[in-house]
Amino acid sequence: LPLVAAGSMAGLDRNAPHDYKATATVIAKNPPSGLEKTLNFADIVTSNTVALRVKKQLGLNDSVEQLVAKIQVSQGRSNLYGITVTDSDPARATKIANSVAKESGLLYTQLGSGSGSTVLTELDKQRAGYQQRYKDAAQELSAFDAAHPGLLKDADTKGVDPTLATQRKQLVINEQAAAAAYLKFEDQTAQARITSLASQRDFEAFVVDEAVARPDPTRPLLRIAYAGGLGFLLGLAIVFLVQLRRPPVRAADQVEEMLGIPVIATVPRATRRTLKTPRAS
Amino acid sequence: MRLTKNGPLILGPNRLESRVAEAFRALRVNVCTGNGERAPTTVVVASAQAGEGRTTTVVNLGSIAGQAGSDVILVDADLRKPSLHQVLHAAGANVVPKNTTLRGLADVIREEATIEEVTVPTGLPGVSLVPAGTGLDKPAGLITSPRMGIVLRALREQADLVLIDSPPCLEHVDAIELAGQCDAVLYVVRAGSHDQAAQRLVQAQLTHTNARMLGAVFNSG
Repeated sequence: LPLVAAGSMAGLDRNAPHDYKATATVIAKNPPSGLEKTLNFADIVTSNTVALRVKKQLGLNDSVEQLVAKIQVSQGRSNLYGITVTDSDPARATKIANSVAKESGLLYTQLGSGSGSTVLTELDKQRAGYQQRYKDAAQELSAFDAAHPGLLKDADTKGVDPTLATQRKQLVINEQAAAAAYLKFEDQTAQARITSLASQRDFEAFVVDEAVARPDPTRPLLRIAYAGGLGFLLGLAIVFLVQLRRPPVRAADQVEEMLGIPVIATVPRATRRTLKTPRAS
Repeated sequence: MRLTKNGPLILGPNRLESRVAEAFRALRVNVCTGNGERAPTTVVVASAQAGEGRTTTVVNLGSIAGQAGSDVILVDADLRKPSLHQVLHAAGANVVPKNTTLRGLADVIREEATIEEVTVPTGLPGVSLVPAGTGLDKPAGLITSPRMGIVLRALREQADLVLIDSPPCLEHVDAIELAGQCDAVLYVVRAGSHDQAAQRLVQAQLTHTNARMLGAVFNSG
């Protein structure tokens, strides 16, 4: 029975539909210094984020776990990564492989460069603050000059009210300080963006070869072997259960109990020993 | 049918002291003394399924009884799969080659031959054979026909012990029918048999025919 079960399972599996593999190739740069080793492209490819994006993009019914299970990443000596997707539908395998390659590249670049991080958001907020401070200072100075039109004209004359002159000087200093602070901030921001761009280049990822689905030549054989083994175990389990449920007759008294008639002869198993004539003692 | 290195297990003169022969001697004593009751002449050897050791029991019990001085006739009543003459031939007994069709029981039932005409010697001392016969393409109804009773009575006249090999009870009703017409039934069970419910069912069917259950032969091999 175990052998029959093994054969049947293997036969059934042989006739089952083939799997297809589609492999897309991506080149993913690593920083030369090795400072950012925590960001690994292979991990990104098999991340839930990428799987979720692909699922949404292609409208797949598979769960994220199922999708991740279909994806395999391999890396050669260089920065080339092979992203292989196994699926029973060749078209779907191709679509998923290409989508995973694209989304992995985007996420890798995004995370590597730091764009979209809270640091940049904070910088934008600060820029608005500096701008506002300069605007306020400039408006205050303009309003003061508008309120005292003769003050600029008579600045060097002795008839100017010293309090107003001091007040105006303070406003000019405030405006200049706000302008200087804003310019300094812009310099620093520009420098930060240059650094970010340089970093982005270190984490660039491009799809270099799009996926094409091919029948998986090894998988059916492996599956047949697995199915055969499973069938064998299943057969053994059935035999075991049958033995457990209906124990075989092993002794004459069991026969008597089972049939309700006496056993009038027990014939031993015909072996060389039982068929041999015993020596006379 | 159980095979050994020397062909089907038949207890010829060279194996008479073996343990297997001793078991069949004990069986012969129980059968020939009627196991405490009247000694039977016509005995159906039955089993629930094929492969339990029915034919081997018929041949070996016949051989042992023949060597003990009884006149024994072995009757092949398994008209669907006759094998007695093949077993005897394969074991080197002096019967016609296994593929040769011999006239036998079926011919006698159809009144195309007499018992004397179809009985052939086996080469085993005191043991003759009534083969299944010819024209077995429609065996249904032959064993269960009223003529079978007459044939059994005729057989009873000609031997001390008539051992009848029958088809498996779960496959055909012949053995059950024969059981009601013969003097006794010997029931063979092989060790390892799983289908205890089927065994009980057959036993109940045999009992309903008022057959005399001589006992069971437990084949532990």
